[in-house]
Amino acid sequence: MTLEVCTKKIVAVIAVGLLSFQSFGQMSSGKIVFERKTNLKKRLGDNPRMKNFITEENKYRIENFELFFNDSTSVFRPIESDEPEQGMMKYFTTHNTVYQNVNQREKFIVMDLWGNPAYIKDTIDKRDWKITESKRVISGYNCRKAIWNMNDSTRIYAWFSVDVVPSIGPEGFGGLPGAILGLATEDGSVIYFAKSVEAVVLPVNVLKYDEKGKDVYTEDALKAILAERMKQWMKPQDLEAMFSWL
Amino acid sequence: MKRIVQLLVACFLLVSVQSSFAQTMKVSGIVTDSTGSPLQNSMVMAVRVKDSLLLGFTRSDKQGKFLLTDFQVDTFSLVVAHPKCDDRTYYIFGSKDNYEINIPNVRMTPMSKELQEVVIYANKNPIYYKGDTLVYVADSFKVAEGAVVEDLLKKLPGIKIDSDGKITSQGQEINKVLVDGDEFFGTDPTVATKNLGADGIKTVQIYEKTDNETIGGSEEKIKVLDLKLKEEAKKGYFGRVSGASDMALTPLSSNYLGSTPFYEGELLLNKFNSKQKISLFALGSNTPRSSFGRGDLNKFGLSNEEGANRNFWEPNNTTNTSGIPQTFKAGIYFSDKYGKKQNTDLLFNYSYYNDQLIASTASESQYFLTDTTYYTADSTRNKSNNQSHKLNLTISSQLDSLTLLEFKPSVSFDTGLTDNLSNSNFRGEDGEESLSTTITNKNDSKGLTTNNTIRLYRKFMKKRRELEVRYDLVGTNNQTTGNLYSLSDYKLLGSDTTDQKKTNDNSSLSQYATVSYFEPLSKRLKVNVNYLYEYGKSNQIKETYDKVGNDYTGFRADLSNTFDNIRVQNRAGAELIYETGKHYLSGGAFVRNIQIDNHNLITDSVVNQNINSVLPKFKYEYKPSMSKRLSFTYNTSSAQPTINDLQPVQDNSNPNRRQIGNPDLKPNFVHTMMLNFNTWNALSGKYVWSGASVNLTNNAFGTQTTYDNYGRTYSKTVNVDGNLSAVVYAGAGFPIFNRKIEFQPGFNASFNRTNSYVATALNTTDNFAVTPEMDIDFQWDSLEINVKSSYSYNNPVSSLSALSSTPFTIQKYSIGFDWTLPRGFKISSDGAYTKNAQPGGGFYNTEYFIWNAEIGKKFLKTQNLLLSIKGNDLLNQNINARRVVTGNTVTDNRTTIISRYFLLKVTYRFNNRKTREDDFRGMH
Repeated sequence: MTLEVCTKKIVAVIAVGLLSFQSFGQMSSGKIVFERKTNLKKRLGDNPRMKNFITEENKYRIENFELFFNDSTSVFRPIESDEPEQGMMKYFTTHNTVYQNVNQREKFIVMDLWGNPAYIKDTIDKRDWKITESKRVISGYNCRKAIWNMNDSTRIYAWFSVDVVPSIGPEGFGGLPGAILGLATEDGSVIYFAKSVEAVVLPVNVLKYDEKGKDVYTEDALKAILAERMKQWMKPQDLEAMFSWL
Repeated sequence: MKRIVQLLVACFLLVSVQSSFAQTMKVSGIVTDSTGSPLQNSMVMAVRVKDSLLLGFTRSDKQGKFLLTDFQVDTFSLVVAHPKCDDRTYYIFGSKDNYEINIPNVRMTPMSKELQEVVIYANKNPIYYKGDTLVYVADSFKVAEGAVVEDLLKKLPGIKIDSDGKITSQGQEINKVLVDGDEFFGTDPTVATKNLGADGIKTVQIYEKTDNETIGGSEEKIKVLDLKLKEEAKKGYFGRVSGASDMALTPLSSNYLGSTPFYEGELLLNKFNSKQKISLFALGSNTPRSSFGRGDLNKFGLSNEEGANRNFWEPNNTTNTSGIPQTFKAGIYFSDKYGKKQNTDLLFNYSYYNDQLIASTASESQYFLTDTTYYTADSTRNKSNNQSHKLNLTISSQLDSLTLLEFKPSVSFDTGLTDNLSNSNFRGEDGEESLSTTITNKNDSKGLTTNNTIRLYRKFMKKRRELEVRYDLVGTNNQTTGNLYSLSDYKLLGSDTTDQKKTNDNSSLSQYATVSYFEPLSKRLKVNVNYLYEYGKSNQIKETYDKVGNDYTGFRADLSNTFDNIRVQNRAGAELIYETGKHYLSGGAFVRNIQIDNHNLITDSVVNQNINSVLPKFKYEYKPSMSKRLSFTYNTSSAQPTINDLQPVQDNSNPNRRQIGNPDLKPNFVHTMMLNFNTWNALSGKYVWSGASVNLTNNAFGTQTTYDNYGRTYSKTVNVDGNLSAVVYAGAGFPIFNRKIEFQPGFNASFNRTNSYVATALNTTDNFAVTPEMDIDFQWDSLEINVKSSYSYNNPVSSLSALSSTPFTIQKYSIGFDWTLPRGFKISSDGAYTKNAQPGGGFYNTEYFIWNAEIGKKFLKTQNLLLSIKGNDLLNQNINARRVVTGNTVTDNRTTIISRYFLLKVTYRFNNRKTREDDFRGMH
């Protein structure tokens, strides 16, 4: 079917009905459980060595994380799985524990470097978010989509809910007027999705961390060390990406 | 409206240039609900109009008050949101006169409906809708020659591209750029739009797609721009060609130059389109380099070229150290995808190999007996030329999401020519020469080997349930014709000669059927049951004729044989597997019965063997973290003797070392135990790997050797008990000074016990060896230096004679560097010193220093042309010397190998994108 129209503009008005959702009210302390789905084929597929052992069957890796928070501090950490590991797949995703103090703009990170911890203390990254009109519901909460350009080739979508008040999110993310309940790379290779948002009493000391007796690095210092030590094993852009989530 | 906004922004920018410091905005107000009561915790955010950037946000307090500040004066929208109400949006045009804004009453209304406006542009050009898809015919829009997709998109009505490469269609942002429905080069749309040529595009299609990769499933629709390529545009190629030679200028001695030039040459080419790949390779050399690097094998997909002599870590160091080689190989790989969903893969490969080797070896052997000792000195010159044609095909088809069917036939045609000459001198204990022999062996063989597999692999809806059904057909057929000429001079006692023609026909056909099934019993426990049935037939016809007059007509029944062999195996196995995140435990066993009928057609006698065995196995693995692993395995295996070991006929191809078969041989039984521990820390760079293994073999295939009074031997394979090998090894890396220097100590200790018979006396040889090592690596930005050292002490002791206890040592020290210089220059060099020593001196005492050096420079803008000069073994000292201790024999060997040579090498890499083409190094 060919549509022949003259060159002047046509203005179409489309009505978009916003569904009204049940609102849970506002929350400023509790626990969010995230599921992270990583498409290993998309993340590592251009590496000829990986092509052979990432198949359609095992390309998705699913891991769970929990985020405890109050009005100013939060901790994001992996939920240990006791499921048998399928091969080496665990080596290809990150397992960070991130403490954030929004008021002091400070973060403390326990980075799991393939089985050994490394400690980072730094200021919370300031990301330039672009707010979109796009909206959706995650775990019963109204969310708005914001976009951040991680680098020249990767864009991150974040769905934040105004109803969960603290400015927090998965990994080292935050800085939006509400908690991030969904976080994804534009190509869908990594997706964090809140499975539950609950107002629970926080476990004692869950938000506390101890940096005594540990070698604590800044983000840049640790990145520089790893760039040197892992150069044979990791592409610079993969290492950069590893830190971009903090 | 939009135009006005931009205008105001422009005015402000002019003003702000004059002000000495940036003014910050201050927005305050009170949020109330529709009844006028204050709304606490309402979100207030400022979003810049020109690019939607979030400038700042805050929350209202108990009184509904908010103050938003600390961002620069700009034009922005102020969004106020509360869960129970509709958003309220204000547009604020900040300026140096208007930076403090107070909104006294932000009255929020309960949620309602909202209208959105979408503008669609349309044009008279060849654009049409196909269903919901907007299609542009690319050729209708003129672009300049050499234009890329981005230039084309800019010409399409309704499509806009901003300076960052962001694309909008009818005002809506394009979320994804696809090429033929797929993401082409990763996720960055500009990779496709800035690199693909516009002339390769057939149509540009814009449509909405539910994004099944996005968060939480298929709720969100995204806008997609899909570039449909013309067929001829999906192509590309890359490759490398190199040639090297010394132009026969390498000095062989101080007086004259070499007459035959050394050379190396290679060609690699890969041509691809969206589904098909074709790789071509060729390599020719007369230097020790005879294979491609590991990276090349990966990059060009040469999956069958991984030779046995390749070094995993230093693929370019593959060397042929057993003589003077000449290598040529070439081949083609073709792969394609078929089927509606591209679910069938086809891979075809043909390769041709031609290897020549001339090896000259001198050796001295000592044979220790209870009552006497024999000595022999041998010198041999072997020439061989092997050619083979190999064809491999793989067809694999994913029948549905759970079922995979694979068919892999392969066939190889081989021909071989060998021409060996050896001179031996025998001496008794008194040192007097008693016998000298000259033996010439010429063989011409051709053979065919085929290997075929059909495999069906099925998964089930129930997780961890698996089924594999497999059928293998293996066939071989070899024919050898040869001549043996030997002259034995018994000094005072005269001499004799042997002149024989030999033919040997071998063929075998084996079929295997296997079924393996996994069933989960609980969350952590699963069971595997499997069954193997084998039916194999083999046949050997061996004939020897003595020379009578000018013809070989004298049939030798004692050296000829016709032998049939039928083998039937039934094997059932079961294994229980328990698995958690950190532990893996499995245990099971095979139970099997093997029946072998050996039919001697000349004597018409049958030897039956009926063997039952139970083969248990066990494995435990503990992974406390990703970087630590401890494992223990216990395995058992049992192998049957080969037809050559069984048949009761003499092999006199070396008349000094005759072999005879043993039809009474029983299968062996091997216990293997292994313990491994590894740990690694990425941050400190420290690592430790260690392990131990023990191998105990009962009914091992040992040799029984009988000596005649000259020291010539007759040997026969017999079963011996108690063969043992044990090894303990450990290594570690300790970096210091921020990993500029790394120490790598290593340790290896081994004990080997081999039993054999000398005549009827049991001879036990214990060989004990210890090797400590220390390597040190230095790394600076452009310079890498490595130093290696090792010391090895060996003490072989034979129970029959204390004389054979002759400990020896091997010391190795080396140093090398790689230096990358500006302007594309690179220099590298390494030197290795080896010293073999035996107390009391003797043949084995050798030392040599091998020094190599290379200098290279890269040319062109793309650095794709590399010119280098390489010198191998500059001091001309390379030798191949080694000591072999077996049973009651100690043999010292020296082989002539290639020593000094120089090469001038030119390498050119290329691709259709005319960009830099790198070597594939490292693991990524």
